[in-house]
Amino acid sequence: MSHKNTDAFWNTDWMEQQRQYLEAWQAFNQFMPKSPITGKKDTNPLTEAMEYWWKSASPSMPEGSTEFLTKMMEQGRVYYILSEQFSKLLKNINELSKSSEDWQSALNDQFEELKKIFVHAQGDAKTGMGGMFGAWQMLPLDNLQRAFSSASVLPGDFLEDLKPENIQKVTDKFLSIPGVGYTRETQEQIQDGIRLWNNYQKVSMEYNHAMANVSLKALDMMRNKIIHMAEEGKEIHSLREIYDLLVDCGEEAYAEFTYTKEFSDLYGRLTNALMAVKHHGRNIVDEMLGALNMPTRRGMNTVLKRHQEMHRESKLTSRKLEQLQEDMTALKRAMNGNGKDSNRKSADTSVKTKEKAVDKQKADRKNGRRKALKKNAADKKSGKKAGKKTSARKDNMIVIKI
Amino acid sequence: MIPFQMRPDEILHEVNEFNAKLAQGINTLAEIGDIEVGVSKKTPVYQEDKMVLYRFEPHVKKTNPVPLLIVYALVNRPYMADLQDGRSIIQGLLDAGLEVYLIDWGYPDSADRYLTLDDYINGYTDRCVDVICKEHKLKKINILGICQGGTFSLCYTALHQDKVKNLITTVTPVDFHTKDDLLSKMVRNVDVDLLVDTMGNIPGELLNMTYLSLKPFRLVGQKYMDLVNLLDDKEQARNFMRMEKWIFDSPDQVGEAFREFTKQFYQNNGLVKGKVKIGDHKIDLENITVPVLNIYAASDHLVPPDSSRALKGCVSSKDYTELEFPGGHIGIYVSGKAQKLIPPTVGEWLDKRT
Repeated sequence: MSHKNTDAFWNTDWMEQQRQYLEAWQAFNQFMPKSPITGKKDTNPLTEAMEYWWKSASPSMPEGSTEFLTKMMEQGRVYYILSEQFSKLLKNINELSKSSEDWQSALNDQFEELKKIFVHAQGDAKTGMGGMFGAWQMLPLDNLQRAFSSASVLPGDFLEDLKPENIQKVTDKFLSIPGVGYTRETQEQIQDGIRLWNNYQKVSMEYNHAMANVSLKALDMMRNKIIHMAEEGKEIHSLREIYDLLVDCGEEAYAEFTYTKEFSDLYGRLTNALMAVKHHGRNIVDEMLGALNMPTRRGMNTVLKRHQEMHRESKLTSRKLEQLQEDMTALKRAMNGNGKDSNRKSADTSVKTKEKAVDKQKADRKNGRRKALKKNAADKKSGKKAGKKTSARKDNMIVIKI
Repeated sequence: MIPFQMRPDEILHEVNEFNAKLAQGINTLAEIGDIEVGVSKKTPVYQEDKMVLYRFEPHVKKTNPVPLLIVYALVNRPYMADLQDGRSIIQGLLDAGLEVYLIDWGYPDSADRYLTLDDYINGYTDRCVDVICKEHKLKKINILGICQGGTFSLCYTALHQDKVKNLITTVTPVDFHTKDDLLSKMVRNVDVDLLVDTMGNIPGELLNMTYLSLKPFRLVGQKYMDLVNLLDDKEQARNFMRMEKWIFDSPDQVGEAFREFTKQFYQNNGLVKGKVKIGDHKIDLENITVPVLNIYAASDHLVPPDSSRALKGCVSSKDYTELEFPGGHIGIYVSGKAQKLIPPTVGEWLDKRT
């Protein structure tokens, strides 16, 4: 693959940029001050280089792969942030006296810094740490908003920008005014919508808060596990091991919360609150469409429901008809003495069995007749025989009727 | 002792190596092209609305005379059972001398919104069974249910036992209220009526995300980190992408069926309580007396083993067998271990009962 390729996707300048950044960063690292815990998000040169490259390369990526590759890039960011944080930690530790208290104190400081970045990143999916905890972006809240955005006139993103703290004061006053005049119903409808919206925002903040606590707990767990590893004499040899430890702790903290009744209740309230907003919005849209004499969702539902009922009945009727036709065909064939319908195996078998029985009876009777002749009682026997023959035919007829 | 046994420059070296792999991996992914799924030859033998019944071409001349119908879940696509050469349960079943049929539910749209569980179980499934019975001149066939399809198969068998010779359930939820069932806890307090009345059909994307959120760090993060290490091997990358395609190929869920399933099974745990109603029929698992083979996965995070194992105490079958697979919900169909264990076991179990 030529490095001169003009296609941004094949452009490997990113690697060159990474190399330059690494060199620059290493040089810069020599003069880095000792772990300032500012809480402000540091700029990671590797992340920046990757972002820059990704911006230019992603438009030329094969369609359909972009989302998938984005996930990989997000994990790349995780690695860069972790590398930065733990490089700082190791540098600080190296400068310490290596006593247990000293390195644990440095570890605590570094985790406090991580926590601040973490909390900051949770509200911002576009930051480097957003990628680190990309998992949180997939969590129910955002997931619900995106998946349900089509269910309302308001897109999912719209929900993100309206925060209750900004509109609470205004809405409280507005909602306390009773609807008046000929637009009273509309006013009440809007007020209801805002009430539902406020409720959703409150639950959503509650949910975010709970998840933030989980993420902080995950970091606490990680720090404790590292200390525990030190006590047990276990060693960490790579950044990947640190990353895996972070994943384990994240899952553990998440599971600890999500398996509780509290989570189940919160998740239910969150979904229901969002659905209430969307449902209200849908009703308003329906009313507008109805006023314009256009098809409404409600009307469509009625049609679809009726259609499904008719479809169901039609299938049942077809099935009954098919069964009747099969029975009829079998009956006709049997009446014509042609019982070779493969679909009526059981009926055929029954007919054949009966026929065999009749044949056996005939043979028995033949033997009996011979004996009877010997006994010179032919007339009487012959009379009975004729009667039985009729009966046998009747048996045969009964089978046919079946 | 300080556990960190690496220097900052070693970390940078590791990051640099990661960068190189990532860059190389992106090139590999771009060269992979289209991903094909479904390897075994099959023919559609019956079609109704969006549902298609497929018959797979037998691999051996002398097959088990009783065909096997695979009832798949409404969630995701059934090609997971026939993902690729060497990772296909269907291939294994065909090799084991079985005649295999499969129900593909298709991709429902808004016109299908009012399909109910009754339509799926007593309608489509029953008609598929009739078609197979007619084709093979039999009164009973074998049924194998996958996940939710297993739950459907249980309901079907409870109602139409005269048409089922043997029943096999795989990773099938039966008790929906086991303590380690996170999915159940998530939906327990959701107002399903409001959800379905608002949304109509439930978007497949929502289900995907819900499944990912059961183990978000592993499924959204770590998995892709592992991928970076696989990307220098095009075949491994292709396998990964194939699974990825399946995971995110998720049909929307028909509103009414979703409402019924979530309320009756997940929220009310009606299957073990004998309170599920399909159409006008009550489902009593005690009605099931046919031989049952219940296969579950020991590390299943979607259908916990306890949920599947609950079947034992619910059915009346005297011939009841359990098989624990050492793996997860998906691994039971696609892993190499599964190919060696599951199809031969199913084949032998059925042969003994035919």
